[in-house]
Parts: sequence; C-alpha cells; structure tokens
Amino acid sequence: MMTRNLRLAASLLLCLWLGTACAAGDSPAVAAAAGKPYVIYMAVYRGCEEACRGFQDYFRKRGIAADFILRDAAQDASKIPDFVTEAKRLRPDIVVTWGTTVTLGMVGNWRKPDPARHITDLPVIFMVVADPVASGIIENERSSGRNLTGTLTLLPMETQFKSARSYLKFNRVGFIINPTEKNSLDARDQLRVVAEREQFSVIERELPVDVSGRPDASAIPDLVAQLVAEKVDLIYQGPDTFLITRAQALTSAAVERGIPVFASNESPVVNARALFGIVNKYEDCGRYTARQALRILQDGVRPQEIPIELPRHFSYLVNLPVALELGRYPPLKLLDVAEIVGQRNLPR
Amino acid sequence: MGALVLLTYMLLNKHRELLIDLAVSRAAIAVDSVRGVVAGGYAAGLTLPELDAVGNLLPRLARAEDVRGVGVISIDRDGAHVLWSAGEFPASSIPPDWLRQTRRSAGVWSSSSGPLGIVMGRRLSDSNDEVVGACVMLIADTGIARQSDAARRSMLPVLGGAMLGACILLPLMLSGAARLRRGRLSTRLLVAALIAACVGSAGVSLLAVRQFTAHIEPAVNAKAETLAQFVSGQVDRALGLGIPFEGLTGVEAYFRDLLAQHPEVVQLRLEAPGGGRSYVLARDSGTGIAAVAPVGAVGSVTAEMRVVADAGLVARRVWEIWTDIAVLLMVSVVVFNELVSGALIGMREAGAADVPDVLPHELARLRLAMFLLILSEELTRSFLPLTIRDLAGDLQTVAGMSAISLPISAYMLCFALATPYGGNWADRYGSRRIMFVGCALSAAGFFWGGLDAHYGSFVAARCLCAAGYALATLAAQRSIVHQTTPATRAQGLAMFLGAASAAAICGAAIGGVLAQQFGRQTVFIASAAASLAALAVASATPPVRAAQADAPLSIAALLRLVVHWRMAAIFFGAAMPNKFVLTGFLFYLVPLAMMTEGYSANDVGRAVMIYFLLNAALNPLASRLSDRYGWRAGLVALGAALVGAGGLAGWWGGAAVLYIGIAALGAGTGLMSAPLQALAVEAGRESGAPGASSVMAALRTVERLGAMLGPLVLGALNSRLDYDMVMVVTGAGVLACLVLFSVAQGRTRAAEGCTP
Repeated sequence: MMTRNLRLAASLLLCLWLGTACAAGDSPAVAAAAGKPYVIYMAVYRGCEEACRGFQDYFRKRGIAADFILRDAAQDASKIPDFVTEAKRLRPDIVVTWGTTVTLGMVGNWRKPDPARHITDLPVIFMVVADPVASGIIENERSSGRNLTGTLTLLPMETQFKSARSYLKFNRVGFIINPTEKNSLDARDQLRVVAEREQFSVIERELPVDVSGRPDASAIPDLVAQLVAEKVDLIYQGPDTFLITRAQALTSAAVERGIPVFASNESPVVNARALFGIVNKYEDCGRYTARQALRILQDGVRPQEIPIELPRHFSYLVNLPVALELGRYPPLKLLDVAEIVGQRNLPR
Repeated sequence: MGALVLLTYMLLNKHRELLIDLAVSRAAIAVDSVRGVVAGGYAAGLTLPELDAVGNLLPRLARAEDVRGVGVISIDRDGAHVLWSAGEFPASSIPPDWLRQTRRSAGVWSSSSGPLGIVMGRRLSDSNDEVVGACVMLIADTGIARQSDAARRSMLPVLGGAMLGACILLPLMLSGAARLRRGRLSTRLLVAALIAACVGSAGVSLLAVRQFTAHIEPAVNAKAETLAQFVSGQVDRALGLGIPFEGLTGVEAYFRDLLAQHPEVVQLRLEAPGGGRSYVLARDSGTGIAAVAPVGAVGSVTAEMRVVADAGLVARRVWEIWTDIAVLLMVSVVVFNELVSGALIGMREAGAADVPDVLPHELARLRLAMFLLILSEELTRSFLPLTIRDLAGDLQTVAGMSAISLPISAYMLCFALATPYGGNWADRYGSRRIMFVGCALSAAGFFWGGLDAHYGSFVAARCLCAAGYALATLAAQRSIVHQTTPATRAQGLAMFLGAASAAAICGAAIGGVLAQQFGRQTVFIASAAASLAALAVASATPPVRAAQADAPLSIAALLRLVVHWRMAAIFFGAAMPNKFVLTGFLFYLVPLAMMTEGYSANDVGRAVMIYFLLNAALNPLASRLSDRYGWRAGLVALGAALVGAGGLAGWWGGAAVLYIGIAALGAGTGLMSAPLQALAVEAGRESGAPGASSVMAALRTVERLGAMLGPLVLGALNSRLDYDMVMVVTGAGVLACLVLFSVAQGRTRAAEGCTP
C-alpha cells in the first residue's frame, strides 16, 4: 500500500515537473481533483452552430465548470494546421472537432496519423461527421483504437422510412441525385436497398452538371415537376450539402405541386418547407457528444474504450404550416411524439 | 363446505382486485400527463430537475378524489430523491421496491401489499430512453377497503345461509339417496352431493354479482370520465394546432390503442355537437353508461368526447371465475367420492350394508392413500416448469441440458432408479412399511421444495419426492398384484389407475387455482400436507398377507426380459413412447407453450385436466374390454395411434393444437394403459419371466426411462423448433414405434396360429 502511494505521489510530482510529457488521460483527473474548470478546445467549421451550442449547454445546465476555447475555420480548411499547433501548445483537457474536414485535419487518417501534423497525445472527440468510417477517421465504430472517439449524426435510412410510414402511406418515392457529391450517390445506393426491403419504388432524377463541373441549381423545379408527373407520393431529400443549402427551391417546388418532402436532415424542415423529417437534431448530437466527453473527463474512461454511437433519441419534426397547406395532417398518435415546427398561435 | 368457503374467499378477492385495477388504471391516465410534460421537456433540452411545470402539475393531480398523494422522484447515479410531492408522500426514505419496479417495468407498475397501501408508478425517461425518475401515486384505499368490507359483510350472511342450507339439505339428500334402490350406492351419494354443492355455489355467486355491481359501477364510471377528459385534451391540442375537426387523422388507430389499454371501455365516440363528422370505435358487444367531456373551452365547444363503459363488466368478471368454481365443484365431488368409498368400507366391515364385493376391501383404503399421494404430486403440475424457470433465472443450460427440463428429467431418473427397489423392498419388509417411508420422503421433499428458493436444492427436493413417490406407488401396486387373481388383475390395476386419475384430474386444476389465489409456495405446503395425510391413511391399512414372494428383479433379469423380442416390442413400441410423450409433452411442453401464448397457471391446470378426464373416462372401459374379450394388443395399438395422430395435429399450428394433442394423449393413454399392463404380464409369463411383479417392475422401469427422456429430448428440440413442430416430430416418432409394436404382435399371432 505504502509503495503504491509513494509511486502515485512520485508520478504526480513528475507530471507537474514534466508538464506536457504526461499521459493525456491523466490531465482531466488532475483538473477535476484540483476543482479547476475543464479546458475544452473546440475546433468548428462554420461558427458555433446548434451542435456546438448543444455541447456547451450540456456543461452549463449541469453546472460543470468549463473554459471553452472556440476556434472557427469559417469554411477555410487551410486554418486547421494552426489549430493543431495551438492545441498542442495549450494542452486542453479535451479537443472537440466539428465535421469531417476539421476532424480529418486535426487527427488524420487512422492508417497513418502523423504525430507532427496531427493530435495524437490529447483526447479528441468528434461530432457531426456524416460517415467517419468512409472518410478514414476510424476503422470501425466499435473503437477508434487511438486517443479518439466521437458520435454519429445520421439516422439509418431504413429507420427513417419505417418511421415515416406512421405519418403517410407511400408507394412511390422521388429522389434527386447530385452526381458531384459522394454523399448523394451513397444515399441513392442505400435508398435502392431500403426501397426493396420496405417495398416501395424509387423514381430517380439527376441534377445536370455545367461545364465547370458544378451542379445546376436552376434545374431543381423542373426535376421536381418531372417527379410529380411520375406520380410520386413523396420526395426524399437526402443528406447532400448542395441540395440542403437549396432546400427552399426544392421543397417549395414540391409543395406548390401538392407533394410532401421528407427530409433526412433538420434544416429542410426547420428552415424550408419539407413536411417532415426523422432526424437527430444537431443540438441533441452536441449534447450527446458532451455526455460522452464527460465520461472521459469525469469518469476517466479512455477514448478508445468508448464506441462511436448514434444518440438514441431522434426527433420527429413536422412542419405545421406545410401540413396545413397540403392538408396532410399528422395523425393523433403522432402528435404525442412529434415536434411541431412553425406552430401558429391560433386564438382558441 | 370447504368449497363454499373457498368460493366466497375467491369472490371477495376478485372484488378487491377489480376495484384496485380500476383505481390504478384511472391513476395511470393522470400520471401519463406527467410523463408527457417530461418527454416534452427533454426534447426541449431541459432535465427533470429543471422541469418546474411538473412540480406545478402535482397539486392538481393530488386533489383527485381517490389520490392520497403524488410525487416525482429523480433517479441518478447518486441514488434517488423526491423532487416534488403533493399530499401524503414519503419525504426522504423512498422504498427500494419502488426503484426496483420502476427499473423493471417499462409501463405502469402497481403494488398493494406494502405498508403504504396501494401504490402505482410509472417510469420517466430522458430522450435517450434512460430512466431519470418516476412518478408515483399513492391511491386512497379507504374507499376500496370500505367497499371490500361492505362486500364481506354482505357475503358472510349469504355464505352462512348457503352453508346452513347445505347442512340441512345434504344429510336429507344423502339419506334419501341411500334409501333409493336404483343404481350403485356410491353413485347415488355422489349425485346428491353434487346437487347440494351446485345449488350452494350458484346461490353464492348470483348474490355476489348483485352485491359487486353496486360497488364497482361507480368506479368504472369515474374511470370513463377521466378517460373522456384525457382524450378531449388530446383532441383539443390537435385542433389548437389548426387541424380542422373534419381533417383529424389516425383517430381510429388512436381509439384502437385506448380500447386495448382499457378493457372496461366499450365505445369511444368523438363528434361535433351539431352533427357532421363523427369518429366512433366500439367493441363487438357491450353497452353501458357514457361519460362525456367537451372539447374546447366553455362557450366555444367544438366537439364532444364520449366514453362508454361496460355495464356488464362486473357480471362478466364474476362469471369468468365460474370455470374456477366448476373445478372446485369437481374436486369436492372427487374428494367426496374417495371419502364415501372409505366410509362404505367401514359400513361393510360393521355389517351395516350389503355391498357387492369383487375386489378385496383392503384395496379401497389403499386407493385412498394412493389418491392423496398422487394428489400431492399433481397439485404443483400446472406451474412446475414456471417455478423452475423463475428459479433458474439467467441459467439457460446446466451441463448442456435445458435448465427447465433438467429438474423434470432428474425427477424421472430418481423415479426410475427407485422403481426396482419399491417392489423388492415391499416383498422383503412389507408393502405398508415401504408406503410409509415413501410418503414420508415425498412430504419432506415438498416441504423442502416449498421453503427453499435455490435451483440446486430445488432439484434435490424434487428427487426426494420422486424417490418417495416411486417407493410408495410400487409398494401399493405390489399389494394389488398380490391381492388379485389373474382374472381380476386388470380391474384391480384399473382401480389403482382410477385413484391416480381422480387425483390427477383435480390435482393440476385445483393446484392452478390455488397458486393463482395463494401463491405457488402455499401449494407446495399443501402438497406436503397431502403426502402426510396419505402417510396416515397408509399406516391404517392392514399389512398384506405374506404372499409367495417373487424372486427380486436383478439387472440381469431385467435385461433378459427387455431383450426378448416380444417384451421389447411392448416396452419400446408402446410403453416407453407413451410415457415419453406424457412427461415431455404434457408436463414440460404444454405449460411452457401455453405460457408463451399468454395463458395463466389456471388455464394450464384446466388443460392438463382434460388429459386426466379422458384418461379416467376411457380407462375402466378399456380394462373391462381387455378382461372380458381379451382385446389387448388392439386397444394398445389404437391408443398409440391416437397419441401419434394428436402429435401430428401440431402441423396446423396455434394454441388449439395443444388442446388437440392433450385430448388425443388422454384418450390414447386411457385406452392403452390397462391392456398394456395385462399384455406385458401375459407376454412375460410366456417369455419365462420370474413372475408378474418382476414384469411390472420391468415395465415401470422402462416407462420411467421414457418419462426421463421426454423432457430432455423435447427440451432440446424446442430450443430449435417451435412447439407445434416439436409436436409433429414427437407424433411421428410415436407412430414409428407403433409400427414396430404391430409387426411384433403380428408375428406373435402368426406363431400362436390365431387368425388375424
């Protein structure tokens, strides 16, 4: 016992003296023991949006003291190497990364991480990464095998379509492919599999690409019209960034022709006119990531011991004004679980 | 008399249960609103302690008439504490049972046995579906206690009257029956007792329905009102979102869920006051009183929600226990019959009556002892696999065998091992002494099994029961073989089987009823008591005259018997498969399969009873035919064919095939068991066996082997196949064995030169 205590004391002293040379896993425990706030380095891509705020809120609501060092790349990937250098110098208790680009830039591909260019000796947790395995951040979702963990964002497509049936009946689903984005092509392949399993047919239309190789947004209303002419019951809006940023054009064209849009992301329902979506809200993802981060900070769990998982809660978002406009009212049972977006304050 | 008291107890218990169920399900509607607020809060990013809206809601809930108090508990890693409460609620020490129940049940839980009276709770979860707390409601049981007391007070005079009536009626009817000169005396007495019991229990039940209706109807109406208000709130919310009344969707699906959750509701109707669109869902049958709740605020009512509660609920619930009453009646009649037989012997011994004598009268007392011993064994039948399953817990397999079938097989193994000793020891030390030892072992086994709650010791206790049962029954059979002539042997054995059937008929069924009412442990203790009673009766039988003892059956002699082709065909073609199916299918598969299909121990008991009823009905007939016309092989083949066909019925699937299988097994066994024994004794004599009792011992040993294998093999099959397919495989196996038996019998007939 005595020997063990002596060894512990000696290693603590050594830690204090060596400072940065200590194993990364020890520092949160030291911070907690000293009652100091946790130092959390957050590297984000397009400002502190919902997931980032959800993460910080989780700490605040629980009264857990934390100093957040927020660094925004503002959609400029060239800034990321500076974040790596700074994080290595500041030695925070944990590093949080947002999105695929930032995460890959900070931790590198799992096959060949470079300790000079990437963070390897600090615990890192990522969020809002569409497919961390495909992007090479991790080998599999069970364990990263290194000083890294994270959370998933996208709900499995099969779950989305199964849940969609509690709102609407559909046999023909329209889908617009963006050939320039891998996300969109992956979604198309998945959709074909899910359609077979869930017994509906998929009507596909592809976005034309201009000479510079960019998809042509002006074609969206016409493609929607073609899908409507094919008598689709529903249009599925996948997770590709190009179409999500042009959700207004797509959803309005559909609603004007009386066809509901079912979205895989929060934004087309909340910011445009998609009728509904079964999504993991970014804010929830942020909160869930914070919970996992606390397991590292408070409980001393090593990041490689935490599997990369999806938050178990998902939101059934229903855009009320669109529902009223289309006359596609949510069933009574759904109202218990649905989150109503754009609720009007009717005088009653 | 006993049956009437038990019946009254059951009716009063039902009354209280019904009132508690209604109070709990009504409270559950209110608690649902708390759950809704919490779910909404978590969706908005708040945690349970931050949800002041919940705290504000509680005083309103606590004001409800039958609520003593309500509280919300938060549960986290550091433990549990009360966040908000209203009314009477424990401030600090939260009963550990509440937390256990909350973690265990996803929906509503309730308990009425603790010091806090009737308590109901519902878990509260966060957005990741992890338990964060519970909403617990203490329900005022003063109303329920008052009503229960009133019911008790009004039932007791009725019971007293019925008992007094029975006291006057029964001796009159019995003496009248005794004076009648038609039919057998015991039958006349039986009919008289049956009439008295029927009249008494019908009177008590009819009056109970009237009394209960007065108490339970207001409770049902109150629940209907609560439900109407709850649904109207939901509809109001939908209309508040701007959904037009005519455009409401999914109303039918929503109503369907509500009807499934609330069995006492028969109709849900949502309609606009001035006509127009209405939404209605009703059950096929049932009418009653409607509770109405307006949708919308006063002055701007947009619709009306109408909930119709079932007026016939009480009557239906009371009549539901009529099946239990029928079982009770039958049991009392069977027990009465056994006692009458005993009494008649006493009368005959005193020279008071002229009773035709075919069999030695010592056998009747023996029969009573056997009846009691077998009754002790059968009482636990309907729920034994369930008890084992509970004791096994997470234990799936033991030494590669299914943890549920192992104790049944261990029981059968001990039975098989003790069987050869039973007959031999009976010859050496006297059958009365061995029966005494057997009954004592059995009683000890039941006490142990009833007291202990460990899997291992339960298996040991079951083995003790098996050894005792084997010793006692073999000693009794030995007595019968010694006291009968070859001409009356089949009849003598049929009498023994009759006692077994009588005990089995009422044992499993009444055991199920008792387990439901008093708990399984009590039934084990009752079994021990029945074994002790058997011991008392057995010790009163006179010692059997020292008969010419057969040479004890050695293993070598057993093997010699078994390898003789004619004996082998009887043993392995008919006797063993039959016992294999009996234990594997009836004692192991049926309780488990019925439980999977949602039946209770009560239902299992009644299903098992079908087997014993048919067995008992056909057994005397088969033994007469066998003795009079020498139809042995034919009856055995017919019985085995029925059993096999019953198994094949599994092909059609569904719970009904279980009943078909049970009925076929009962009828088949009834047809074949007495002729099979006579056939074995005959064949043994021709094959040069040392004596009738050694053939019987060999037969029993082979049967026990089959009985031991049954649960093991079917347990292994059931881990891969559904129960209906297990039935098909078993049926096919029985038929294959039957072919072997028939071929051998054909050869025997050819050898004897008989015309087929």
